[in-house]
Amino acid sequence: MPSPIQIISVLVSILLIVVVLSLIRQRRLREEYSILWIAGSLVLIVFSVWRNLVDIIADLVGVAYAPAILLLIGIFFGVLMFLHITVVVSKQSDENKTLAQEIALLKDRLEELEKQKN
Amino acid sequence: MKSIAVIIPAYNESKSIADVIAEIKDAIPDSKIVVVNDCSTDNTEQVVKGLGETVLSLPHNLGIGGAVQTGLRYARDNGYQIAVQVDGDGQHIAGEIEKLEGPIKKGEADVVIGSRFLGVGEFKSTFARRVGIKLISMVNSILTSTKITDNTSGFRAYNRNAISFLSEHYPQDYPEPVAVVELHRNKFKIAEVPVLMRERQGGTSSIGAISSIYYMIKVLVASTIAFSRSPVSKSKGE
Repeated sequence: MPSPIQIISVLVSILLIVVVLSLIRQRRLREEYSILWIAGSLVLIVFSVWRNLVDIIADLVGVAYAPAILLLIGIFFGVLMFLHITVVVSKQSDENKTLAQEIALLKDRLEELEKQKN
Repeated sequence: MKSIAVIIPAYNESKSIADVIAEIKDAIPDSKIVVVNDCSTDNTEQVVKGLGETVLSLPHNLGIGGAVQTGLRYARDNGYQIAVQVDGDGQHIAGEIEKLEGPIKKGEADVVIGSRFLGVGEFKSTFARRVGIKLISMVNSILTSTKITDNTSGFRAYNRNAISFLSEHYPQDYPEPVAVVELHRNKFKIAEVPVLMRERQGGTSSIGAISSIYYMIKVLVASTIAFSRSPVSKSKGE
């Protein structure tokens, strides 16, 4: 018999996956950036369904207080996501810089051409 | 064959830019002046246009690195053989540009840095900044196995190969000292020549006195990381 908290966590995990997938369908989240979110939601579901998994892992790595494993995994996922986002932002700011430079160069060429025409 | 483009990155330099341009035209009349207006909030753009010189206006502020790179791209796209970078605040003396060009014309270097610390004239600075400059100089000299005394100097000349390379790979953060390391890593020959510089006429340094220690640490980290990068393949391609 599953406990209420188990049912809640399964439901929340499924909700997260549904939200992520629908964001991708609406094109508000690029597939490229969604892999981590989908993977994260799946991990959450596995932990919600298979309750003993936390204890098994805690035993394996020698953690006395099993729920700490959950926190650890949560924090790890958060850090990974954050890192991923900063990588994406860096890439975008680089592309953004190139665009700004191209605009400045093109504006100048356009003005030169217009001057020649007149 | 077009010869020399003088790139002037400018952010709110409407007070000094006209003098800077006049001085350059006087010193090297056959040069092409390219002002890169880094989204100034004053009328720098109008002043330069009024003088009939080329101004590349960026749609948003990119900082000194992005601005200089815009000018280098212009030099690359328009076939200039030499590009000289000169500050828009009147700190650099146009009459000294010749000294920068010398080693490039003789084929002795790909990049020439104008140094305040090689013995010509005195240069006043705060203690914290002097220590910072010394440390950066030490580390960069070791990393590049070339003695470079003035890593933050924005008074530089580049040949065609360096222009092409930097058009694609100009560092955005702490561009002056990091570019020195990256150029060395990609087998460009760097030389320093002593030059005179003025006390700045207008504007303030991009590095405040209080944050100069923080700046120094960031530069040292960035330089070391730049050194650890492997050279860009095809670096010397035209």
